[in-house]
Amino acid sequence: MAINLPKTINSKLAALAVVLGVIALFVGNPMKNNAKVNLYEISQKIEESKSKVSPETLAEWIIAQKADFALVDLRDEKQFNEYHITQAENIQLQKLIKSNLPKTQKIILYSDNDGFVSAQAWFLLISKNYNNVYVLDGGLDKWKKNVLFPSLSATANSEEKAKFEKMKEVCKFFGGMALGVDSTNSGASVAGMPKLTAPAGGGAAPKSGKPKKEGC
Amino acid sequence: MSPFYKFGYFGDEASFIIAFITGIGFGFFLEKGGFGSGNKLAAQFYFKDLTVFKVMFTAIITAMLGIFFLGAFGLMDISMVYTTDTFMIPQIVGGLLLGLGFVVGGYCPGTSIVSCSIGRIDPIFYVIGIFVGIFIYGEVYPFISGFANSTPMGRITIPEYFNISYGIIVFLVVLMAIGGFIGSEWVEKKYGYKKGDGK
Repeated sequence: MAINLPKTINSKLAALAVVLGVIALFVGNPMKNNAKVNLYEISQKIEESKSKVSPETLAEWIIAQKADFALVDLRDEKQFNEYHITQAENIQLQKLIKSNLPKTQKIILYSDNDGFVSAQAWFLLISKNYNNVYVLDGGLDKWKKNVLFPSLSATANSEEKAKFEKMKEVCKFFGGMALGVDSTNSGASVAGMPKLTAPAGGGAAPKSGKPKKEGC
Repeated sequence: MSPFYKFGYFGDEASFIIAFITGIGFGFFLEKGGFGSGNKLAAQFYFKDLTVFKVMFTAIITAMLGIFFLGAFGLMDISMVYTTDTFMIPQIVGGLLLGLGFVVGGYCPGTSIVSCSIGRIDPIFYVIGIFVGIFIYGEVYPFISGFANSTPMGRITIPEYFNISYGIIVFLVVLMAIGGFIGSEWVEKKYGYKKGDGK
């Protein structure tokens, strides 16, 4: 190996690398807080409704112990402590942009039935170039209705019944209970699930995919 | 703002052309760096010639510092750079297999193609082996898919995993590389080809 000539260049380059490395040490994080928003991309995401995850799909992911998503509860601490979905972490809207949620994972946001807070959070994260941000469709209310306390309408067809049977198992996993046909039972007394009142009636749970429209 | 493709500065078709040109440049410099010779590649495992190691580490820290500072100056959104999912145990096993193949065959997949392009014969068998291996893997995949998908960690980076700043990791990798360069010079002096070795 010829060492003489390259050695000087090499050692200069090595010194430069060390200097840059030391600067890097002080720079810390190369990911900045300034945001550049691609409005076209965002509008497309909204249009393709790639921004929602149904409660049933989320339940499946949690049961399957998928590790590729982070679940964020946007409600205040008190509500969070009363009840939250397994695995969720509690980050309120104002703390969201400072949090170091991994950009490489899916992020699923939820609050109560009001999609407004989740939508705001969704936009903040999308603006920060988070690519895989989703809102739990229907929020916690739909989660209670479809996953924790699924019920079957009296007029359900066989397909809906099959889905209900499946959800019966799923709800047990999360400590809820199936309410049976058109039940008026209250789920509020279920242990560890305070203040969860099951809505009366309601259709069977859609499996996944297109979220069912509901007035909330 | 980069990555250019992710920000839509050019479309799919243009990206193929850019990838083609980048690929030619990449292959050219691999060959120039001595990666076209299986002897040279394998020599590093016998501490005879650590050129390959040095070229690799130079490339790693050059790319790393470049990306880091592009990010720091706001010219690149690093989080949009693709990284693969981590499956800890299967990837360790896969890495060991690849390393074993590297020592035995003298090539890694990329360098075998580079070596083919300069007309050597041995890498042709290596490349054939790659495709046979891919085919066999595909056939047995149903039986080993459980293992292949075990210990999933998602897309995670070292700074994220240990919850430390990217700068610290950059600094440590630079130190590691410099230490590696000094160490490899020393190793080459001790074990490397002497004058009259016919090399």
